[in-house]
Amino acid sequence: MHIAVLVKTVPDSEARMEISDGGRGLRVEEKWELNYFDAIAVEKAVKIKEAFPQVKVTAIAYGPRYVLEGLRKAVAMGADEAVHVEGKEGSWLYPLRAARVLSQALRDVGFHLILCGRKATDDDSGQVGPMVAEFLGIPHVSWASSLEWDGGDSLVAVRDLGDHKEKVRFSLPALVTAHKGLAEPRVPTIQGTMRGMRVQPRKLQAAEEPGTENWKLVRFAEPPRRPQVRIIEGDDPRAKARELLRILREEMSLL
Amino acid sequence: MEKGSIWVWVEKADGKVKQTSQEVLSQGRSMADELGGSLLAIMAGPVSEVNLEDLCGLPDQVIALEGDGEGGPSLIVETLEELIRKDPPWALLAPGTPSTMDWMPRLSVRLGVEMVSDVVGMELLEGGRLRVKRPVHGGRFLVEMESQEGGPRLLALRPRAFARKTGSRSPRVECFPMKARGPTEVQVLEKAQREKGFVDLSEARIVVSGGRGMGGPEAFFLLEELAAILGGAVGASRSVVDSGWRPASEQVGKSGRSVSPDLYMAFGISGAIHHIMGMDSSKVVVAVNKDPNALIFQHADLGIVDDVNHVLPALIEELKRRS
Ligand SMILES: Cc1cc2nc3c(=O)[nH]c(=O)nc-3n(C[C@H](O)[C@H](O)[C@H](O)COP(=O)(O)OP(=O)(O)OC[C@H]3O[C@@H](n4cnc5c(N)ncnc54)[C@H](O)[C@@H]3O)c2cc1C
Ligand SMILES: Nc1ncnc2c1ncn2[C@@H]1O[C@H](COP(=O)(O)O)[C@@H](O)[C@H]1O
Repeated sequence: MHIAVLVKTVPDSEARMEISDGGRGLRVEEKWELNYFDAIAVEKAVKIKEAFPQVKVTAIAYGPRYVLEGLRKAVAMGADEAVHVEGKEGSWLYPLRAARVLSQALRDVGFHLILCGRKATDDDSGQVGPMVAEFLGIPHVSWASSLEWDGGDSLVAVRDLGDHKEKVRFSLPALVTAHKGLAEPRVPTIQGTMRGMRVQPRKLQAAEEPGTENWKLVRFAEPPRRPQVRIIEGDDPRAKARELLRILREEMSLL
Repeated sequence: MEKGSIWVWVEKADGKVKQTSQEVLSQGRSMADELGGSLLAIMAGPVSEVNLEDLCGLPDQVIALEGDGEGGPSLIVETLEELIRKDPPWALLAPGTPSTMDWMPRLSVRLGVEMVSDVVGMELLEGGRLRVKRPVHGGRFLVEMESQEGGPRLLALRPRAFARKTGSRSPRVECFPMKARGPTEVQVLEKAQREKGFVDLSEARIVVSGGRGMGGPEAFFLLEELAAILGGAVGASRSVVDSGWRPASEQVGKSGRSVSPDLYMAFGISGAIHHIMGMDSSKVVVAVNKDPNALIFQHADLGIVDDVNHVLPALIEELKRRS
């Protein structure tokens, strides 16, 4: 059994970012992390491998040099191999392009099960998983908060869809997108981290055609700023509660 | 259908058209009017279950996809692809819920056009170009994109980002068969029934969230009560979920859900960036925290510096007295 995990490297939440090139770009401080949901996917793959030693786990990333960070982390957590599909700066914002390139790489690398995140925290698109499945002509299960494999032909997953849950059964090959609950990402051991540092990812050329997109980026903008907070004063909690409700009702017509 | 037609994917819950779908219908109506085209609503289920009132007099036409249950992603993709290839719309809009995000990306691949998800604003420019806006990096920035020639434009709209309107049209209703061509690849073994009246976090008008400052799982009964009175949903910080006080489905933030309600109330939440990433696009934010320097106050419109264990019961009591 070969599990391929798609890992995206995204700016750390604390990384400084600013709009550049007169709105056409984002300048990001060089502080990267493995996308949270992808870390969950890696953890799940490694857990399966620990239960069934014949399982092989390959981490695949598409993008410029900085994606090595995510690949290193995946290997540090226990992935066997890393594949780097070299791409251009700015490709983080184009899910269809990423999905096309990744599915091509997946054909080269081979897989039985593909795990990825349910969304990336940079473009927040939540599209690449189902798109890759469609390119490869395989079924997918999105928002998996649990996944069980007993070594047999089929797997059982639970999808946590917010307003309800769904238990599904499916056979391989298939793609699963990881949601919270699927696994809790481990902190790599020192040996793991060393392995990650030393890993020489296999390089693949991306068959990308930038510029063919049917949506063009116009600009990045700052979201509207919230005014300074208005602190509600009062002699006791009851007075404050009453005043809050008055504002929400009378001034803001929210209640 | 003539040039400039807009299609809207409509979802139901408890047999009713969801509010988020009504928002998309409203947006679709405006676009269709601007383009001089018509508005078509598409929904899964038999014609007999189409309740016209729920559609707010907005569409000119309704297509009910009759067939195998609600249809998994491949079934919906196949059916929509067939419909679109026959008569391509100018745009297909859908509410950005986990269920649409299950099939729309696949449809995008089938049609070879990109989709845009989590759209929070759109504007039709001269020459029929469409400009859309969406948040990236957890709402730290907005990105604006413009559609090029060739369609259809596939868009998933963020729940609660668009206003709901009404019209006075009485649409004609047709049905179209939704039939599986092969065996279902993903078999649903069990579907936990959603509770009647359950409000999904990202679709709720009001979200009341609790953090570690709530003190423990028992205190969340108060939040549930407040949510029930206000017709809202309960949210939680990650610390609360990780401590097992609340289910993961309630987590708001970077690794949970993104919400943009009209009113977001944070009780005993410190305001870590990971939490802010999931709620900063809320229209009005109220924070209750005993620490006047808590970060959450930098992301709030209204604040109360006090103990949640005193403020929450007072809020509930005051609300009850008034009703
Ligand atoms: C990769 C990653 C992803 C993450 N994703 C998320 C996410 O999706 N969502 C999320 O929420 N967090 C997320 N976090 C965690 C986040 O960084 C914070 O740790 C978390 O949000 C803190 O939760 P909290 O505010 O409930 O608790 P705390 O930070 O402990 O804050 C408790 C607050 O309650 C106040 N308080 C205490 N007692 C009272 C009282 N009696 N009355 C009033 N106020 C009181 C305190 O002053 C304090 O401000 C993530 C972290 C990482 C590293
Ligand atoms: N450039 C990329 N390299 C590797 N995996 C990716 C890439 N982009 C997206 N993915 C995978 O697809 C998931 C969803 O991404 P997105 O559609 O961008 O929100 C991520 O969680 C990753 O698992």
